[in-house]
Amino acid sequence: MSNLWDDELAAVASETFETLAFMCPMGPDETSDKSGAVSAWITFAGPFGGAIKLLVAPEMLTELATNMLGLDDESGPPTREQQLDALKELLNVICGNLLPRVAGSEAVFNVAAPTILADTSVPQNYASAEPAGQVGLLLDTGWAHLTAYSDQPVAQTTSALGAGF
Amino acid sequence: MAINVLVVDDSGVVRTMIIRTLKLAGVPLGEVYQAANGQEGLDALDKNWVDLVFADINMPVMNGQEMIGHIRKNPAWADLPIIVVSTEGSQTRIEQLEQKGATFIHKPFAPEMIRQIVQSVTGVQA
Repeated sequence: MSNLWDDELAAVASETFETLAFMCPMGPDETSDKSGAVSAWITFAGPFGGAIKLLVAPEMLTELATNMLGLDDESGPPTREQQLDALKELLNVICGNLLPRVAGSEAVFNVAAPTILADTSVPQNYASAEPAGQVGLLLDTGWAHLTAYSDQPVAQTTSALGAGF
Repeated sequence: MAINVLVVDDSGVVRTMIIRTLKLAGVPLGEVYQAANGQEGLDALDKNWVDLVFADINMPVMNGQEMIGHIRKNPAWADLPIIVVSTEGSQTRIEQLEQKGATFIHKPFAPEMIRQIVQSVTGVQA
């Protein structure tokens, strides 16, 4: 059963892929083979703390950076650094837009700089945590999976904070 | 009239996106300076004539709020137009920035929005 975090995460991620990277989600994705996937991670602190992991198919990185940077044939393909920087910025925008939708616009959060994870596993402090929300998106060049974690039970991140839902 | 712009963001991709968007929006650009944090931004302002600053909030070394505070304390930069480009969703924090004379643009942004706000804060027609 989906919850508010699932729904908002799906909505924000879809909007961000479309607006920032000109990549249109075609529906939910349930890929189980995540070999070679590239993973970005971002944490936040405020009325409640948490983190979001973004996992994408490796073949998506070139298109993602090319679109975000507006590169053309003359510019050449994006460097690996640009590809990873683009992925981090995508996650940064998703996180920044998700938080007010689940916690309300008066809540103040400090969002840390996104990082690229060495592998697809979740960092140790969230390794055993139950996700607050998750979504898989199928895109024309691959897939993206997002998992959000909260330090508080999901119900307390929304109703107790007076979010407008 | 071409305007000199300083773009302060710790992400090279974001700096490139902002500069590309300014060009797409038809903003007449003179010199374009880049800085990766607030301190580098202040250093760039010290060395160059800048008509408009684009700044992020969350940056290492010195964040955008602190940088704007320093800018406003310097009489030479007290009226310098500053546009904050951020994912910030807190109305409380946005109001704090606006009280310091900064204009806020929420990411992701469209070229048209950049064009309108640049016209509004600089008076330069794009």
